[in-house]
Amino acid sequence: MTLTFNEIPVPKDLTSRIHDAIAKAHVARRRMMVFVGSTFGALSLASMVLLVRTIYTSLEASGFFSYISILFSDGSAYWKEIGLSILDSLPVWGIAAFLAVTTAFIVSTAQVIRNTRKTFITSKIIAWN
Amino acid sequence: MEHYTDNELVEAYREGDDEAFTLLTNRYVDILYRFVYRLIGNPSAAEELTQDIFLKSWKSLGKFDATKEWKTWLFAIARNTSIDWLRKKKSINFSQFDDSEGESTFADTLRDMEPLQHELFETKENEVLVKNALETLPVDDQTIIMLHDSEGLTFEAIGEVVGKPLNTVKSKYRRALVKLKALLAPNI
Repeated sequence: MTLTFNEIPVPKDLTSRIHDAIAKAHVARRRMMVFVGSTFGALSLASMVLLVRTIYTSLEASGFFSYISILFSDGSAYWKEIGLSILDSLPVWGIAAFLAVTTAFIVSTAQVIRNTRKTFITSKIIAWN
Repeated sequence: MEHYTDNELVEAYREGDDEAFTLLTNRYVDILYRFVYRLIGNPSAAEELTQDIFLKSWKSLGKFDATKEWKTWLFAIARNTSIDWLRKKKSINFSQFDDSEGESTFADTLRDMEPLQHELFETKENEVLVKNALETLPVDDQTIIMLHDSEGLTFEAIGEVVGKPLNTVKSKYRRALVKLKALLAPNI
């Protein structure tokens, strides 16, 4: 037994309406991602600035700049010891946090750029239709 | 890309090819509209629901299990969406013949278990009679018959659509055919 319902007429513009609805939902989703990406990007940038200041303060307090100065002035004989002191004076957690936040900033910015471009193109297509 | 299978198109879309979902939509718009229209009987609502169904399928694409068939998943969304609409309209046909466990006491009283004859569908008038009789069946029975006889889905796939075990689907199909035959018997 084969039931066929092919005589039921399908509205001619149904397919294009569905495509439009999905395209609009796509644009809305991308706009949301641009907003979220921008927010994360701004927060990452602010965090980067704060971390740079914190790292600089830590480096000053730990004597990092002094060791560098010694290394380049008269430290050739004790370069190993000075090198170890330099490494020891580095604010490791601060640097790790800075790298993480920088990565987040780059990823957020890339997301914003990609979604903004696609949103612009899709919006144009919807407008032309 | 026209020759891609449904699941290949889904994969292509997930990898960033927007055109893939457009092709997938084009394949099923007509079929889905007719399926929904047959279930709910309202053409303008069927248009809206068809649009909603494709939107839902797009939004939940991340949840689609690539080991299953796209068609089965799409019809499951279509069935659930149609039933939700019918519930809101309070016009769902939970058959007066079925008891609380979905078993039909009416079908049990029927003695003739022969399948429907092909002659039933040979004339336009009979086709209309069959469709009118189909509308009196519960939604699940209509869904099972349409998906099996119109869309060619296997009982296993239909089981995934309606969320019931294979044997239950087969049993419902048989009972639905018996009910149809009983309803159409005066016209044969």
